[in-house]
Amino acid sequence: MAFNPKQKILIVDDMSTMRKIIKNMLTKMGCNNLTEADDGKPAWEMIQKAHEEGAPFEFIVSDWNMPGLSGLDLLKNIRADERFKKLPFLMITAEAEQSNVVIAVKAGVSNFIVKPFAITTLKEKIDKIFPG
Amino acid sequence: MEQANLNFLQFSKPFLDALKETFTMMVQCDLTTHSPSVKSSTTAKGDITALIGMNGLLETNGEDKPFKGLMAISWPEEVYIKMASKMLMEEYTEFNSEIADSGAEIVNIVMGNAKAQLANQGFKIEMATPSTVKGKDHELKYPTNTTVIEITCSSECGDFVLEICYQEN
Repeated sequence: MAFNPKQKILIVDDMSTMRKIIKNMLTKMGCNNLTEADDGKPAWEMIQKAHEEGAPFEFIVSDWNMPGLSGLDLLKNIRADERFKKLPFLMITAEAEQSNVVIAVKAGVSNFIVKPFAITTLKEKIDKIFPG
Repeated sequence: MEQANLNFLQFSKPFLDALKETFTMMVQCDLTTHSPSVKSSTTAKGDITALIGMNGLLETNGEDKPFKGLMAISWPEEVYIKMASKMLMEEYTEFNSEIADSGAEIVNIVMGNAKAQLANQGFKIEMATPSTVKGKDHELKYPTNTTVIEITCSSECGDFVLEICYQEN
């Protein structure tokens, strides 16, 4: 299914600067249904609540390293729940080591971006998650 | 040159490379770096400093040699505000909560990228969480008995200082 910029997207990062950068990039791509969470823990609660209210998130863009619940643990929570097994999840991390990619892939990540990155990289990764 | 100093030189380069790449990509401006010098004071050169500590092991000749270190970037306030404005594509005229972690994000990205490059050279690093200190002439707490080098970096936002310290235990 091709990427629909109108879909409901959750941006998860403990650093407000990176949330804003991602939000700016997604806005430039035409996205306007963007919600932010500053850690994996509130993000997990928001994902469940949105589903229960009948307006589920359709795409998660999350940082890996966060002080409460990490992006990896958030991903594991999501994949362990039957309701969210197919929820697209893009992981963003500053740690560029190959071993991290392997860990994320094993946990069921949809795609992976290493910081720093440009909007073109974000678009390419999203296009791979949502092939037209 | 002593082996520990050679190791320090080898250790420093990935931070410079990562900082240049991060600036090009996230701040959309090029960076020129000047010659390194040894820092003798613990006072920050800038008004805002983002820093991150690290511990690790250097694998040489089949042996693991422990080391500790720290990376810091210190900006004059006006340079920091210009840099954050470019990063966030919004004009800021003063330091506020919206840009308070911009420097820490730069440090986090530089550290993460340098860590990956250093892993290929035998440096296995555990990185801490970045933090930010603000204030005129603030003091920086380096790990004890470490040598600190400072490198002035020039960009269209202005000059700022990268500091790296490294000590084999």
